[in-house]
Amino acid sequence: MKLITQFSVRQKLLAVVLLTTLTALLVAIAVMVGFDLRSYRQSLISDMTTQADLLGRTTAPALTFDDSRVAQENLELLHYRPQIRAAAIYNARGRLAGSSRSCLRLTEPVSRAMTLSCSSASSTTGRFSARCTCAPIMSFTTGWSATSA
Amino acid sequence: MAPISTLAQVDRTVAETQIKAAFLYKFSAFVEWPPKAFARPDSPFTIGVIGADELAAELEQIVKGRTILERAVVVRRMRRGESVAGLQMLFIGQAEGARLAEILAIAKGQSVLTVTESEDALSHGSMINFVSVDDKVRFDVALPQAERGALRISARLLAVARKVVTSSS
Repeated sequence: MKLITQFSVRQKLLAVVLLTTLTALLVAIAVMVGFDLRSYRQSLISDMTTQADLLGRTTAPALTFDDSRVAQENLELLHYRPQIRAAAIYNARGRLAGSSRSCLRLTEPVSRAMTLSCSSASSTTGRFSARCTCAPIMSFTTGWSATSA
Repeated sequence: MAPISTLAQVDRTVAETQIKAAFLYKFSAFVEWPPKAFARPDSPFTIGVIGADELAAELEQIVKGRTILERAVVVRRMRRGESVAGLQMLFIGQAEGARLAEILAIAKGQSVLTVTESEDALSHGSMINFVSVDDKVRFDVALPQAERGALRISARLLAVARKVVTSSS
């Protein structure tokens, strides 16, 4: 109480006005940062989904005809996206799944870890998934899969 | 050592036949046939196989219960000199050897996707020819022959072909 009474009305009024402005400012900053993060994340997700879909469609014939070279080349296109930490193409074999050489495997590219492994589910041609990390604030996985023709 | 390597070779041939049969079935998803290729709207999709009985058996297993272009699939084991009428796809095995050109001549200009596994078969008029590269089955595609048969081969198939012949030279 003593602290409050030792200031004049004018000073108190000023303090209240400043405090209100500061609060409003902080709230506005928080909302803006939140909104930006949200829209950035959403655009990144739609971007990644498009890329995953494109890459998946391009790679489907390569998986159908067990061509790891073409799959590897397609996956390496992701080098142009530094946010992508890891990407994988999963090969789902039906009848030919018996031999291990039907597994497609990628060598690790210089800059990013990309893995490619086999899945034994028989109904899909393949599955592509990419893990995308943007700073420490967000990280997500996007996926693609196609059914066998 | 000799029996082991022979056994391994047999294994490899069996695996290769399985892969070729599976590829044959999958080719159908990447090729467009003209409507006149089918006699009736409900005609089955017929795959003729000549000179490759094991592959025919394998293919019968694969197509069992499946459809191509929403049609039932029939595998027909062909004899020499038989007409290719009613076929949508024809596989000519290596066993036919010297008669390859003769069989391909019968199918020429028809809407029949001809698939072979012999060296130099493309120059005889085959559309798709299996080749073995580093123990893996790959294939070459000849577009002019397919065009003569009014078949459209998808660019997505060409992307995984080892070699694509675009001019008849």
